[in-house]
Parts: sequence; C-alpha cells; structure tokens
Amino acid sequence: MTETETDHAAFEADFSDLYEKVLPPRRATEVKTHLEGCERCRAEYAKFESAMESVSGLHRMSAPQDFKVQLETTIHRRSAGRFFGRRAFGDRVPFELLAIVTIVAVAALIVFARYWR
Amino acid sequence: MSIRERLLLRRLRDRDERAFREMVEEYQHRVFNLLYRMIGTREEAEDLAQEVFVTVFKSIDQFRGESKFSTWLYRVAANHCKNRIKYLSRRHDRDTGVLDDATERAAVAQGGEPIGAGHIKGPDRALEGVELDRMVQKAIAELDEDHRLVVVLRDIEELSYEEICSITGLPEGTVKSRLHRARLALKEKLAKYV
Repeated sequence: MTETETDHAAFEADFSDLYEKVLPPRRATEVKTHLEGCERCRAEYAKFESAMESVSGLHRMSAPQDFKVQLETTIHRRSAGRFFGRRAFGDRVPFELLAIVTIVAVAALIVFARYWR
Repeated sequence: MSIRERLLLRRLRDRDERAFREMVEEYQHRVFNLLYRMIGTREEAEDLAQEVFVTVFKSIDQFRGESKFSTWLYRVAANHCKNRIKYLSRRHDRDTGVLDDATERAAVAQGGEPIGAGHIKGPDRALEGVELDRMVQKAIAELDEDHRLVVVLRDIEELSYEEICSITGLPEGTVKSRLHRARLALKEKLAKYV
C-alpha cells in the first residue's frame, strides 16, 4: 500500500511527542514501525532530532558580572534611595504604625479643638 | 510555593534589601538567558533584564502566590520581551537575531557550558560549536515571537507544560501545537547545518 502525503504528515505530527517520549505505547509502536520502513520519514525524524539536540545544546548565556550592582544602582537612582525603606529611629517604622499614630493624632486634635471652644 | 519561596516573598514585600539581592542572585542568569534567546542581542537583553527585575520589585505586592515565584518572574520577563520586540520592530531594528562573534567567543571562553548534550572539546571544535550556536540562534530569531517563546521556554529553559501555560496564559493544546510547528520550522532551517 503506497503511503500518501496525508500519511506522512500524520506521522510527522507525532514527532514532538515521540521525541519527548509521551506518545501512548500503541501509537509509539506504530510510529517507530513506520520510521523503520519509511526512508523519507526516517530522514525527517533524524533532522528533527538533530535540530532539537542543537537547540537544547545551546550555550547558556550569563548575565554580566556586575549585573547586580548595576541593578541596585538603577533602583536606588529611580527611587531616590527610598525604595528599600530608609532606616528611621534606628529601624524602619512600619507604615501601619505611622497610619495609626496619624489617625490618633488627628482625632486628638479634633477633640481638643471642640473642647477648647 | 515552597516555604522557602514564601519566606523570600514576605521579605521582598518588606522591601528587604538582602532578600532582593538573594532573588537577583538566584534568577539573574535564567532571566538573562531567556531574554537573550528571545531578543538576540546582548545589549538589549542586559537592558531588558534590568527592567524585568525593577518591575518585579515594584509590583511584588501584586503577586498573589498562586503560582511558583519563578513562574511569575518568567511571566514578567515574557511580557517585557513582547513589548520590547514590538518596540524594536517599530524602530525597524533589523539586528534581531545575529549573535556577534565577540559575545559568543567570550561566552565559550568564560566556560559557558552547553545545557544539553554535545559538549565540544578543543579549539577547532569550540569554534565549530560557536558557529553552530550562531546558526541555531539565527534560526530561533527567525521564528515569530509566539513560536520563539514556547521553544525557548520548553527546549532551552526546560520548563514544564504547566509552567509554560501559566506563563503564557495559553491552554496546553495551544502550547503544544505552537511548539510542534516551531520545532518543524527549526528542523527545516537547521537541516543544512546539523
């Protein structure tokens, strides 16, 4: 039985799953059997495997050695040094505490102003 | 998320400078590699990597912890990539995929190790490896950005499909379909070199 383009395309559609070894066993057997008997698909799969090995074998590029320093400089510059929280009164004052103190102070002022009248 | 990640996240939200350094130390090379493989030039990748970490730190409070921290970080990086690629194409920047000799030779000289198999030994073989890397990077750069992203995330960064779906916001079927088309395209582009 001669194989049509559709047949070859159907097997090619499974190349990724075959390469990743996630094809169901029956289908994996079908594809491997076909590759053994079809020179064209076997050649295409060999090209596919080589391409995948080349991609996964790419050198891993590293960030420059002074990247962290450059980044910290950028952040400090853009935030005028505020971003990491300036130390105040010997330690960073939590925003929640500042908010509570402010509310209490305003409430006290309002009460005092009413009493003063 | 692991306990370690949760603790790091809490310290980052407290704007702990040491936590920030730890986070950058841990992820800088991965982020840079992703950006480099997407953008194709070292200068742009360095600039973009800075922007990615600045964004991460500024918007750390928006991360709800529904995914791994690294997944969220990659998502930020991928979004920055897309915006930068659009900007570069609007600027008609044609230098989108060619790895310059100096950069790659420097990477090899620094002992940059290939991620997978195919370690090249000896000076002549090292040059062959450099040339092959150049061809592969060129082929990747010729893919459209959606296909390029899934190839970089899966075949270079070796992320799981679940992570890729979380990063891209795409269903698994779409990710696999794009990946397969991208791989077939790379097969054709690299056929004469490998």
